[in-house]
Amino acid sequence: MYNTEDIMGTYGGDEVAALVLSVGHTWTQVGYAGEDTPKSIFPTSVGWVDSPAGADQGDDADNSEDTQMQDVSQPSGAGSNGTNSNNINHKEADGGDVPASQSVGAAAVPTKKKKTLRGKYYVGDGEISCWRPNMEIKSPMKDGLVEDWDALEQIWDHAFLKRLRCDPTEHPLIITESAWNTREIREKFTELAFEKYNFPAFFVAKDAVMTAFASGRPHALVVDSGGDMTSVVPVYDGYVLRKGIMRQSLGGDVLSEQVLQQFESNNVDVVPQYLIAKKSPVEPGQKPIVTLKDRPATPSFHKMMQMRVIHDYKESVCQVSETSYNEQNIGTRPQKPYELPDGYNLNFGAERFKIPEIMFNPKDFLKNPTPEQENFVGLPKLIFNSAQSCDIDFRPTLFGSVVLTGGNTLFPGFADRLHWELNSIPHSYKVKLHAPGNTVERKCGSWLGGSIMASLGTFHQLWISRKEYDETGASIVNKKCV
Amino acid sequence: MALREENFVVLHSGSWNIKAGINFTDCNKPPTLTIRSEVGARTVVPEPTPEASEEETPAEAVETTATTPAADKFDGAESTEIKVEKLEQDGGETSEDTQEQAKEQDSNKPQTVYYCGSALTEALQQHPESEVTVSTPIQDGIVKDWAAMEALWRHVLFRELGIKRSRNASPVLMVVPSDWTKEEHERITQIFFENFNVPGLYLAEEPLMTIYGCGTVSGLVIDIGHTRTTITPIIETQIQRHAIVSIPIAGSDFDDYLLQLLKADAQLVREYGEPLDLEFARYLKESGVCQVLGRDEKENKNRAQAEYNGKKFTVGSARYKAYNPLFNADLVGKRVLNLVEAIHASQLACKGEKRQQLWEAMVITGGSCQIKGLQSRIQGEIEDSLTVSENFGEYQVREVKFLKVPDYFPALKDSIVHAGFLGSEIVAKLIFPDPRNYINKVDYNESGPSVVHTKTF
Repeated sequence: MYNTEDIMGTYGGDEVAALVLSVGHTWTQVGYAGEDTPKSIFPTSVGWVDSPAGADQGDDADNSEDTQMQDVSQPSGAGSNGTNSNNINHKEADGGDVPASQSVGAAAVPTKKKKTLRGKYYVGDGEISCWRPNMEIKSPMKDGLVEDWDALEQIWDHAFLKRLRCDPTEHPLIITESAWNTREIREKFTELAFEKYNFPAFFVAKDAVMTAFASGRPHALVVDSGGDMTSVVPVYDGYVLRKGIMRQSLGGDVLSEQVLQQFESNNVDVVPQYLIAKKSPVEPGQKPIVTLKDRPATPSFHKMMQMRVIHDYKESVCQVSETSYNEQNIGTRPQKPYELPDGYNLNFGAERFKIPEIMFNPKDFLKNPTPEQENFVGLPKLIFNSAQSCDIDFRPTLFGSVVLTGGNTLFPGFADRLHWELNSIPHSYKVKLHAPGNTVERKCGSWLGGSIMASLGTFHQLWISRKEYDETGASIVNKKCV
Repeated sequence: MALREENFVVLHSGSWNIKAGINFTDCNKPPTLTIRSEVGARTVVPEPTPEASEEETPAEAVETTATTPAADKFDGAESTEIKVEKLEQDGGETSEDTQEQAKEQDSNKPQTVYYCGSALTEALQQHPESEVTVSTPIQDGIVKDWAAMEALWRHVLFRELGIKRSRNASPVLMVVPSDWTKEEHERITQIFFENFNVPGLYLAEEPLMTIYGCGTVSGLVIDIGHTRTTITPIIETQIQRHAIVSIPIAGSDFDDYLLQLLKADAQLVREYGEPLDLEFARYLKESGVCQVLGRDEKENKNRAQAEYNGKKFTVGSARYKAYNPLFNADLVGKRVLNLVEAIHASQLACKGEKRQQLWEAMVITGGSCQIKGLQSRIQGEIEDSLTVSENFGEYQVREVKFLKVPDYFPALKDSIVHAGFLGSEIVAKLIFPDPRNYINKVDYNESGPSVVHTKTF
């Protein structure tokens, strides 16, 4: 459907909506450009069952398909040219247990050979939160970079073939990347998009730039605090000022770990729902009276389920103090009750303020830090460092346009506290903080920006078209998507 | 031209059955028509008679090109000769084979003839089994066979509801599941405008219609259908898409499990005499004999009387256990979340402050919800997993509450399964009077199928 007469090889499809994909450490968002919310949001964590023959209890039908596909793939040789990908069978609906490359024809051979080690994959909340005795969980992303390409492909497969059920050959694709993404990863994304899925056009956008876009600003100091890290990226006129990128691995996950430590130091065991058979009421602070199910699970699965409980606890109970943490002041604040899945309940007082305080003052509030964690700084300092590393001319604009995004910033009182802190640092700049109240904007900021960007008419000149990729190869991405 | 209320049509297509209704001057009634979503297909090599191709051209001006990939001729179970006469009578009931296509077609090329509803039963009696392949166009809630689906819609609209294609004054409100994609919406729009000649179309999402049918705007819809159970939270008419959870345990699994249990019941096998099959299990499940017990309820030790196909027999404790797979998926060998875990997963994805709203507005709907005792059992199972002590958080709850159809619909108030239909009837009455609210012919002709994304979704 694209304009093949175009000599410049630019993609000129006006009628077809582009797909927007944003894969973060914790959440993956996918949807159509031009819409104001992603069609599908699912966890980036992928479950897998490790086994040599690809066998899993009770899933015999898929086993035979697994081995069958391996036989078919042998004669194809090592070429991963996606000629068969047009026959994408995107009408599979078998509960999400589709082995990876089956849905894309027999073409993607290199990844198929590795399947013999990994066995079966599970993607999507309904699948990964289902107890299986030998299922491990991991996220393919770490520190904003792709660590596990097999798992990442699973995510892409699931997003396009299961959730959107679209034909990739008909839609351009725009994805988001972290501001410090490497050339190699970017090129690999390009290869994946064109070789495996045969998208007609492709673009990679920096997530910070997209977030600034979504907030309607050409210049912004984008503060993104998510699951595994917090980053501050200055954006000026749609470009990232690389000197000012500041980041540290202090995010929601570290806070959850600290909550777990808090509970453990009080001898409280956080038992997730999947283990609970029966429970009885107890008084606050008392040991729970609970019968557990016999469900041995892998450590990674158990951890994930524990983290969900803690996540819920954080959302319901934690709060940020409006000014710097003051023991006396906090002591007078009302306590909030919470009950864990096993029946243990308590009224939480000062502890609920201490957790988000770590973001502002890790030196004092981060307990038992690892050597890497010793170097964490408070968020206000991180923001200040970022702006100071940029040219002096940019600083007033940046401070005047601080955009807050990421799920970890949703604590009640977070935005107000940050604003107060930034104004307390001695400097002559006027600080304006933009913290969208809408949860979609906060959690899906970069997706939204991508959706807006990809639906603009002028943007069509910037895509990498299939033709350009065929001529130049994957390195074109580093020229066109800076 | 204003559309009249007695012509409004609501169409709700599911994996198991398809429900349709017309004439909503009185909302207080169940769907006019409910038939199985089954289509029989038979390839027919038409006799190479010269007049056949002439008769097949529709009487009125044709405005489209052949859009549906499969050139299907809709047949109402008569043989080819009689079909030609009937077509003249009904004023052009053929599929959208345009004039060009009818001429282009080699008269010896085999075509597929589709049968639905009562026509299907007749066809199965008339033709040998190998000739007629019965299939379900919708599987796992997704349309797999568009040609068959179109034939089924055609059957419902033109055959059963008696709408005339040439003078089609019936706008259709099409109820779709939440996870149908943009392409699928466009396809539906195209089929309805080009092949069915509807004056108007509106696409509405299933769970939202259920909530409206209960007279509210927020709630947690648990739709237990034939192939899957879908849990959809809705907050103030906004469907929380990221929180939708779907598990593949539903009616067909209950049938399988019940059959397993019945086969193991020696007394029943003896008394019935004939081999037991799924039809038998399904009949029992749907009759009053089967019910679901609450967590603490005791089984009635006596065997119950039942009758099927003229034979009398007794049923033992199997009759209480049909729905157990919903709470323990291992019983049917599936490693998936059970209902309670799925509900929790869905709730966890919603914002904390909204959760209470959802816990207090739950509704169990879908074809499989009609068994006695299901609501109290589900309530019991869920509440066991909620908080137990006095001291729980502000977003946590101890009890759940269920919605029901309001009392001022006396004929429907006890059948929650029709809540979705009721909701769609109400919406149809509200939107179709004004052409700006739905996709009308002008919109379609101007913008094509993609208008569905901007106008009604």
